[in-house]
Amino acid sequence: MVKDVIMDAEGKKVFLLGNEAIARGAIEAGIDVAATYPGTPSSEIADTLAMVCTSLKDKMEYFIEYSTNEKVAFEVAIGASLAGKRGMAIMKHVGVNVASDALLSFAQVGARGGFVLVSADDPGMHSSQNEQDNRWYGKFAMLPVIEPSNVNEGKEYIKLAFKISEKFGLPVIFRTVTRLNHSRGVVKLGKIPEKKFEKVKWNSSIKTDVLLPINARVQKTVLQKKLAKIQEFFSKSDINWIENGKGTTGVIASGLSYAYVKEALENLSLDIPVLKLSSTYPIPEKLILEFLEGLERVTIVEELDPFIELHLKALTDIEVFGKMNGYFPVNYEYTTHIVEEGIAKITGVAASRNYSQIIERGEKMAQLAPPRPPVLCPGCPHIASYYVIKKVAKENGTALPSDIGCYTLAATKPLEAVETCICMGASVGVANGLSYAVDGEIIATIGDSTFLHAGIPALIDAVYNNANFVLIILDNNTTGMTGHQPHPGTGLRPCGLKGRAVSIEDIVKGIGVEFVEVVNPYDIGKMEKTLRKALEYGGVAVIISRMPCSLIWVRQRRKTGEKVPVYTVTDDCNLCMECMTSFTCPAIFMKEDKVAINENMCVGCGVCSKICPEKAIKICQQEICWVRGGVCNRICPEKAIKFR
Amino acid sequence: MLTDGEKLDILLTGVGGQGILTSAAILGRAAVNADINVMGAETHGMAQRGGSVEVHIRMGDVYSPLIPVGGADVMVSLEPVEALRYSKYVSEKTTIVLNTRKIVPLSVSIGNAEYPSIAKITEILEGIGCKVHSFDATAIAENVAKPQATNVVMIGALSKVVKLPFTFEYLENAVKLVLPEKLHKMNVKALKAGFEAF
Ligand SMILES: Cc1ncc(C[n+]2csc(CCOP(=O)(O)OP(=O)(O)O)c2C)c(N)n1
Repeated sequence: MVKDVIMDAEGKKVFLLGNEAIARGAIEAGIDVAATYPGTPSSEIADTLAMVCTSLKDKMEYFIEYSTNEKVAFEVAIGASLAGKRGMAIMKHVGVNVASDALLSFAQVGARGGFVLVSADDPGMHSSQNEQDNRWYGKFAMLPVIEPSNVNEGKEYIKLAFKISEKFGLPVIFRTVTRLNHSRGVVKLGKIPEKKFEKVKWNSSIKTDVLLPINARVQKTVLQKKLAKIQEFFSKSDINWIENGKGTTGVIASGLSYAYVKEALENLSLDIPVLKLSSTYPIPEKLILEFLEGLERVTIVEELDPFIELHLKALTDIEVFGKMNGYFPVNYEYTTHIVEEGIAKITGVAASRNYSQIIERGEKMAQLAPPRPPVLCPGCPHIASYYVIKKVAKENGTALPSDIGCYTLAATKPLEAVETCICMGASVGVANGLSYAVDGEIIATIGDSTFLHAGIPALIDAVYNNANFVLIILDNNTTGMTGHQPHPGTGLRPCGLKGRAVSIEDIVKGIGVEFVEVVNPYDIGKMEKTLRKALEYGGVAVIISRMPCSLIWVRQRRKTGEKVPVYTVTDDCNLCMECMTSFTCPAIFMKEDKVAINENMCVGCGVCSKICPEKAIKICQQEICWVRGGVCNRICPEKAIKFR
Repeated sequence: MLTDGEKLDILLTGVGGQGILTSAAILGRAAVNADINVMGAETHGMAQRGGSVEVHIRMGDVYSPLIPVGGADVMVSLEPVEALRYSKYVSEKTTIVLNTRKIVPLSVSIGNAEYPSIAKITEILEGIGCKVHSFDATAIAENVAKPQATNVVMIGALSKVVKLPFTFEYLENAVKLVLPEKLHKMNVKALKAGFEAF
């Protein structure tokens, strides 16, 4: 819990989320500047730092910012490091792709103040558009990679990462996986250093920091030398260790996989040698060769790509078991049973359970459970926007490129109004390309945070190249999908700092878009009219569909005591089902054979009452019906709300 | 207490928004305070948007945050069909605490899927050999507090039907440590009501 993250009680044990532990580690390391663009599974690291920073004022001071995108976040942390401060950039795995231009060059410059890049990988794609193994960025950029194997190490190794970064003058990649970020464990608190943030004098270092070819050629060899030293260091570091055992088959486990290995060996009652590896690049060759001495076969347990496996094959000719010869899967995340089955096959012992039978039985039973996919929330303004888009779009004629955010859920039934989702900002670039290629209309959609992150350059491209499409910016005034982080459009900053809201319409107009309209999507009629007008306009037309995220809207009204109306379905309902089969609000459901509204879920947006062809959905008028929580269904004079 | 080599694996399942993360935090906090090793795995991000949610809580001698398939000692399901969805984690040794109050998914409302009866769900789980304790936890929550306290009622019930490695006082304390003060009274009531349900 957040209050445990700032608890000043050295030695006390607390139960923290992996991401909270990482944030605590950064605090114990005395960070100066942290910058992020949110992304699951990394988000709670920066969110925690943002939440506790005011409480740490005068004690352990630092800056934390929500940057416009990951490249910017990375560069902000570079600035801190070059000034001699400790900088940290936090992002999800695909965020590193966005920041990679800065990453690969900054490697050659080198860090001055400690620099840690937290890259949160998502094996299994729990909340991501792809699966990628960011340990390759270590090899690619020639930078050290550290991987914790449990929550407590998440805290401890962040501190170590800063130390290594400063000792060797290199940025350090701290690679986590979803199951570490979002697992909880017991963490032993360390000391929170006393630190007032003080500005320093800038010292330039043109020879190292200006990567003109003449400097870069030198810096590349400097980087190689630093890396060789780190390799030596990792062979002796206590984040890696050998556990002795019997027999001639050993196991090398990387990061969280170590936890699965320990458990699998226990289940199998096997006592074989294990090398726990938390520095996965550069591979500590000396340590590995020491481990391999006397072994005839070695098993590599690592999630995603055969990263260590490939290195090992180049290092030794003893028999290697891993992904490349089919003992472990290359896709998705590992679990204890996957690791146990792999080791069982290699060592010729039987698995402790018949896992495939259990899974088969479980899957059969799970099929009896009706699907419950994630959905847009009750009152979500995106539902209203897409309802209109769907209505206006010609069947099989209009292209609907889109982007990443909560609104991507509109790709599912019944809306099916999102037809592409590739990477942040791609909707606009793809619309440009479609504008060359297809003869029908194009309605692109993008979230406000996503637009600011990567949509702007593509919109400039559209104006410049005379593209022809409508772009709807779904402005819910927050970064919804990842947990309501602020962005430049909101003007909100953490730590009680003042920010300035950047106006999306000014940006759009400044780029040169001539058709710019702001509409509240709850006003379904106006939204439809505006969209039709935009389509007729020809050229690049932008509609800003503006209404705060309904979760925030409800919270705000609760705070101010403003009443939240509850809608109810009257007897005028003729079961046409428009509200359920075309519109899709999770608060609307079938109660026996009648359409009903769940009063605990309804946020009072009233959009259903506007789209109902019979006008059968109304605000329940009884004063007490405004009270949420089950009173109104008993006293409503219309007897229109019947639940339970 | 758990002795060396002993463990207790609890799987919490339900629907995003039911407060399952809070239930897990209460169990975890109670364990830490009783000086028991504890780990958990949570569902965040995409899956939380009204979708189905699983949270693993593991106490004692464990290394990984995930309960192995077939390995749950206990399953606490805040919603009936969610128990079926995650049944790959259960075995004939599993005790199940089941809230019988349904949350009907859209797929059922618009007639694209069927919601099995509670009797059928229980029958299937008992067919594996699980011991099923079912009750309308939401009704109890509504009676003594608010429906939102269903998650805490479930924890109370859990502490009755399964021997947890700490006393009830640890749970009560954890409720107070995890929830904001204005919710203490209501949730302690819910916890006790859950305990008394069996
Ligand atoms: C490069 C990259 N960074 C971060 C993410 C994680 N992510 C997915 S959607 C999203 C933002 C969504 O915000 P917005 O565009 O405002 O839409 P909303 O969810 O509020 O509807 C983020 C940060 C990502 N997928 N890719």
